[in-house]
Amino acid sequence: MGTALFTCFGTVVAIVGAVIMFVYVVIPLLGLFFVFIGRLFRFMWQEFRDILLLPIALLVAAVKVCSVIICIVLGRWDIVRIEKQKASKRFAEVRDRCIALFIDNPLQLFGIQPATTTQKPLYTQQVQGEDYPNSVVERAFKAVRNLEQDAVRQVQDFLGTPSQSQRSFQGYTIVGTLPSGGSGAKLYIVQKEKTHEKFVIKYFDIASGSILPQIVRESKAMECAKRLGLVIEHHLDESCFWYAMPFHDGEHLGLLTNKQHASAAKLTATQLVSMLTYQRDLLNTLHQYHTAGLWHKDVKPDNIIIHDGGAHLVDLGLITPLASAMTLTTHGTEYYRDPELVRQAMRGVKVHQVNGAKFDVYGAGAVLYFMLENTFPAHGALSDFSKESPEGIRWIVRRAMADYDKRYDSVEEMLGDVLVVLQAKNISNVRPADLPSVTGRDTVVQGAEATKMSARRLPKNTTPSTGGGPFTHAPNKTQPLGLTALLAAIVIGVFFIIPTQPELNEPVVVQPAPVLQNHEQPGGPVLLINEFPLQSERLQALAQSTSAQLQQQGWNIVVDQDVEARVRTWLPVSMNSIGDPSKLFQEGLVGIIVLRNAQIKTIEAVLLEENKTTTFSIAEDE
Amino acid sequence: MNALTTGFVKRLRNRDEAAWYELWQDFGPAIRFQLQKWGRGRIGAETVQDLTQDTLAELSKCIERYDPNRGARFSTWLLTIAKYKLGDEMDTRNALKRGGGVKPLSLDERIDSSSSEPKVDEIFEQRMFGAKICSAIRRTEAEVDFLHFQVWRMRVLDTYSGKDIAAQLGISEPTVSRHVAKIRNHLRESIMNVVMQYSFTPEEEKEMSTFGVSKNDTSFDDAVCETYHQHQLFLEQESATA
Repeated sequence: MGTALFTCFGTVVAIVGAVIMFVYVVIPLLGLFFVFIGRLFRFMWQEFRDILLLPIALLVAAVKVCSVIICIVLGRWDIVRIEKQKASKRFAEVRDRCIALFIDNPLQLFGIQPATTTQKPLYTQQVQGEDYPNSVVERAFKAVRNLEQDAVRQVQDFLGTPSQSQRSFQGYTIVGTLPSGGSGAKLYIVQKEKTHEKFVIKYFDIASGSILPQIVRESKAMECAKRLGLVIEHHLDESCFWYAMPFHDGEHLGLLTNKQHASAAKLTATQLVSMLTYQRDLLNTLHQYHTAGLWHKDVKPDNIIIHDGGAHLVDLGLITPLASAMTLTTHGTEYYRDPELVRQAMRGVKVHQVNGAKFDVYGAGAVLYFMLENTFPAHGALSDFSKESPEGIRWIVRRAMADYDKRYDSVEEMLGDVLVVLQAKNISNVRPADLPSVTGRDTVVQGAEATKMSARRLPKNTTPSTGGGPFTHAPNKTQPLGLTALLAAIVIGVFFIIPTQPELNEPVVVQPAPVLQNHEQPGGPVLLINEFPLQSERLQALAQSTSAQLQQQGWNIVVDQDVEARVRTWLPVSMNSIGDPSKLFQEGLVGIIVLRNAQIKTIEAVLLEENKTTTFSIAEDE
Repeated sequence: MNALTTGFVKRLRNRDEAAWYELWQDFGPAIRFQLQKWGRGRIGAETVQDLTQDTLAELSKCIERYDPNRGARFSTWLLTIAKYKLGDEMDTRNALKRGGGVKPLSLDERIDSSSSEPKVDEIFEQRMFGAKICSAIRRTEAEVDFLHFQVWRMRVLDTYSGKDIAAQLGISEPTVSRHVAKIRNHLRESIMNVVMQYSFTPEEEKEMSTFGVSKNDTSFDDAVCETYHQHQLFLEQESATA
């Protein structure tokens, strides 16, 4: 009995002892084991993170140092300071990550917390104030998030981009976006905080793919639009450019036309009136542009917004001064862009040498065609009308899209015709013969339209720069010292290099063979058109010598860019004959000499006179 | 090749931008349409544009090596180049690794080889001819008075009666007839020039008589009207699929 009791007691003690042992020894030991495993995983994670981020930090630091050096050379001291700070920050990160990699992380593996602050370094200070969660899962998530933030921040630092979510415009609240146009700029609908008025902000960001020449072009166009009071505010710094313009909350003409044509097989008189009203608004707007010495260059249905019953021309991206000395470019939209513009641009004609307003007239004609046909004019001026429409309106379209020298001289002239149709009791009965441009009546727009056209919206005052916006304001503090030094170095370098290649300075002297000398001299001024694409210095010299020799022989040679530009508008593309000699006489000329390439060492001179064309081949006089 | 063709080819060789634009404007749509047709949806609009440009660029190189004895038509020439440009594009896309594919033939070999010459599509021929007629109409429009051309256009292309035109424009019927006759004569000349300019073979030059340039006025007007409307329809199709 006693033995049994003793055995029972012993068993209970053993069980209790085993339990106590399990609770106080095994469980802690197991806990320590799992803690160690956890630390091991954390160690591996931290080592992996630091090994990954260390070279990135080093690369960013090196880039920032290069940036500092470039800024010093360019004298941009304001940027130097910022870049220097960024470089120091990255070098501090490199140091901290090295310490963490070799010292802190191994110590933490054995539960020793490092005395240094490397676990929360300078570059992660923004997360210091946050409460760290307790659960392992949450902690893991936090670590991953921190890592992601680190990587994103470093990439942003490297590229110099703020994240999308940080984008805001000082004084405005973003309330929506619009589809991007061909320029690739982002379009935001914003509301002014004070007045709650809505505007559109066109935003270019280099880091988002906008290219500098595009920004430069857009900023030039914006400067022009400011003259029309169409730009409310603008901002430009080293990484981005944006400007605010009025917002018209409506559908574009393309959509509206589709709907109108879908609603009925044939356009009704009411629809025709509304279309002509939009056309009138468009022409009034274009008149404002042209009066201000500008042309829009991208007139098309998608750029016309119908709002409050009126048509508003938007997209200021291609606005160009009519008197610009820049070379004509082919920007615009196919089918709404005059083919003559492309032809002249390919010849390298300057903007001021052509009448840009006439290209807008073509665009306005193409828009009217679109409204009548619900399709673009695929065949240019020869496009056919497949739907029923009044002959009077068709005439306006054809006249607007006619050849450069045959179309309306101005939007006012076109508007005169549009108003006659619009004011008619029955639009369908208006004949081309009733239009002022056909009858030759005075096409000066009178009455309310004249008042409307003359009341041009002039800017109230110069549009201010935001001086801030979403980005740090970096006033232009360019110090020319560094730049001057750089330029001086280049000049000195060139000075030392040039004497070693004296032949480069020698002018090319090429004597032409005396072929033209034998030709009978025309009895009056002869315009010289030089068609050289300027790829050969020798051929250029040959052309110049030819011109000089003819002048010496008494030929009345005229070289005038303005006359040339006018002549090019009616001269056939082939330049092989003069279509209409009366135009030649109108310019006070009796002939035209076209110099153009023939072969490698030969040029071709085509002498175009009233009734004959003579071609000469001019070779170098060896 | 006749003098007009030679002159035009010379301008192309000399990189005359206006000549290139003319070529692009006249025949670009026809080549684009043909490439799209051959591509059967495998190539996008951008690639079609690029291939069209490549075709025209290749034309200038091939013209220098052109052998008139072979008697290839201008349209055939363009079509052949376009086809092999497309072939190159498809080869590049489906290119195998080194040693895995067959060595491609050079463009010259392909063009000169009569066995590999593609059979010219009749529709393409029609389009090429339509392009020539429309080019001539464009030239005429550029060279004559606006009112005269519009009278001709209303009479021939829009098929209004002389009486209607006279009423619409406030002129007499004889004036309408005079304007139409003047433009018709001008257009005949323009068509001859354009066809000659884009003709490599005597057979192509005969297109004018086939078309009816020398026929009576009514037949000529009808032929112009039909060709113009066919080409207009084709351009609409082309721009709709682009």
